[in-house]
Amino acid sequence: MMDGAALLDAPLLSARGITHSYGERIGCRDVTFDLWPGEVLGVVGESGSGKTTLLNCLSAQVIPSAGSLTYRLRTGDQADVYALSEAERRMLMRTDWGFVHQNPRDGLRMGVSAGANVGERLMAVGARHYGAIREQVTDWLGRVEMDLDRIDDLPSRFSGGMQQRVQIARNLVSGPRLVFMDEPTGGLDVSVQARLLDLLRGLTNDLGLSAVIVTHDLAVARLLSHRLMVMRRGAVVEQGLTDQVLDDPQHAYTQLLVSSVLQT
Amino acid sequence: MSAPVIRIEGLSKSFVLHNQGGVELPVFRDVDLEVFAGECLALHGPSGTGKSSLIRLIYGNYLCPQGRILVRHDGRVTDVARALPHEILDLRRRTMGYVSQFLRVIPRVPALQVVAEPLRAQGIDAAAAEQAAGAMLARFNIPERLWHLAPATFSGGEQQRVNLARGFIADYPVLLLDEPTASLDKANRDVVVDVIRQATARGAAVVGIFHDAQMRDAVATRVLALAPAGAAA
Repeated sequence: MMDGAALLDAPLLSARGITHSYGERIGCRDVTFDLWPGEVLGVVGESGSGKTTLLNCLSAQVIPSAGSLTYRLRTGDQADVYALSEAERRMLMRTDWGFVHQNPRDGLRMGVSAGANVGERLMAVGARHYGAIREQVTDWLGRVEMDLDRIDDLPSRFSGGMQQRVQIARNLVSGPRLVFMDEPTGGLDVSVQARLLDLLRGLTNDLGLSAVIVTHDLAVARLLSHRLMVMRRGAVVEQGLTDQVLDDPQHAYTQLLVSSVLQT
Repeated sequence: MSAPVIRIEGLSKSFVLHNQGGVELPVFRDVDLEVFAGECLALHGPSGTGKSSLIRLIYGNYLCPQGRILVRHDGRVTDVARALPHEILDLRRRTMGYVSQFLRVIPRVPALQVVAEPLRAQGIDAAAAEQAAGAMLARFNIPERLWHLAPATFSGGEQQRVNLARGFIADYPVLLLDEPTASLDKANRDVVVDVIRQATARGAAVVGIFHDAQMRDAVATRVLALAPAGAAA
């Protein structure tokens, strides 16, 4: 039996030996780490390094060939994520987890309004009162700096940056404890990216969210993540405190990545 | 005599450049050091002797492969060299402040919030934190019309004063200062002297690099001379 304080001092997510291959090709290999409550973990590496495969395994969208994943539920019980039934896993994804895709089209329903996209997520966890849902939707679209007179417009009529903000609101409205993000600012103009980064940084700080963020951009990783994992050819070559990995990289590959960034 | 706030034992550091033929650059070997509450230790020596590296090692910014870096935190002792990332972040949130030579500018975040952030991270509410931040910015002579602007467009000296205001806003038991006054005029250097003396007076342990001899004489209670790696200390 753990007391409350000890509970806070336990990892939220524990990955052990996560390995996934697509036939002959290795996606990710033997990835082990603990994610602590309120911690933002950045995963960096070139395309093809296995970052996205790992993220898909961690968010249980793909069940890996080997390895285990333990998640600490709100009750304090440990869930063996890969052993859950399909329905239990889907429930976990709806209530406790969020997933922000690089392409907002993969995370939004393009045929319904921005407001409905956000409200839907609340209804999925049991909200029924229209007025209360509308109020929370408005609150969240405001927090992601959307013009509220566009709440009834279809996302397809929004710019990429606006769509991404709707996707973030859709994910956070239900109060998740853990959010996975795959290149959340990729494909956006630099000025739009800065605004979104500022927003994400504020939200993770204020809400005490835990997050795993995949990015190839070291500046994004420095700004958003507490801790960094560097991947190459499916394996983690180095991990540690973000500023330590970037300012005093130990592995040859990390040194190459860091020294390849253009200074402005 | 009370226990030191920082105690360093057998600290050695070198950098290995894997992409440049694996050349190894030694920084220092076998450093032992104690810093007590209420003192300001100035690190002194020619460039390349590892002054900045020592400060970054204490802050956990550089990896410590050999030796121990013990910091008193929360009534216990934490070894920065062995601590997990979230433990180092907790140490930084509540025990160790660090002022670098340059402000790391974050797009869109106004000066007032940049300065208030360390207090917000300690759980102080936004209004109180911003009030304290305003007082600190005023102390460093940043005019109020700039408080709500992001520092990206500020001059180097203004950015550094924002950096200092941020570094001194929380009453950390440990303060690490890496040439904090390099780009400041006389009036603002005097403000820095004041805030450092105030910090040591309340019992903070300060470790700093002060390029300017006058500045160093004004604040240091002890000077540690670092010699180039390989030479006898």
